[in-house]
Amino acid sequence: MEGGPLSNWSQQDIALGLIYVFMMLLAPGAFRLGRLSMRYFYHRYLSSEDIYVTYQNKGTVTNRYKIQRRKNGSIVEIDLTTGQRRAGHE
Amino acid sequence: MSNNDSPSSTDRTGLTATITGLLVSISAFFSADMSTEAKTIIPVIAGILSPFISAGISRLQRKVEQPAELTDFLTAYESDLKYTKTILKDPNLNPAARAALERKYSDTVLMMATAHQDFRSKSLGIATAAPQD
Repeated sequence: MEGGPLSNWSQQDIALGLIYVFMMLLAPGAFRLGRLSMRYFYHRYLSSEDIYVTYQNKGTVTNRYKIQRRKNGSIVEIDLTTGQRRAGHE
Repeated sequence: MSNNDSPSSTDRTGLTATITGLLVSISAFFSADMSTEAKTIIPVIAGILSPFISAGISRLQRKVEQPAELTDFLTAYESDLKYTKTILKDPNLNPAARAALERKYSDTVLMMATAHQDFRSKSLGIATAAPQD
């Protein structure tokens, strides 16, 4: 390829160019994976919000309660239908 | 999260191809002084490795794509299980309390095991804000 468009490029220049191309192809997926990973990490390790749980059977609510998280890892389930504490390993 | 966000087999194939290309390109930096035989085998090794890397990425993606509320729910019960396990190690626990805790432990494990299925079938609803009704 005498005088071709890549005649002045060394093997490493071409490899570097291809790496850029492949990185650009991977970038959207990597960005999305990073964003979702951050969200997962937050909810897995940092979040301490109360959780409202509703169990349904064919559209009828059978059970509804709130989960409160304690610092020691235990939880308290508060029954929202009667307002009583149902469980909790306190 | 909509179904459109889940990785398809076409995405996976594309990811595998891109990773193979990337590995081959990176190897060009280290293979300049290598023999022709060694240079020939590098794309083969990249081709063998890339499906495994791609599978690992897909597995991670499936894990982090889990709805945030479900992650909250499962994490709360998981840490509760750890706490229960700690209490069960206490030698001073009386048999009745131990039996009650073990029963509660089993119930929680069962609930966690079916949580994904219940959440998908909408029989389990999870929210971090109080329902309005």
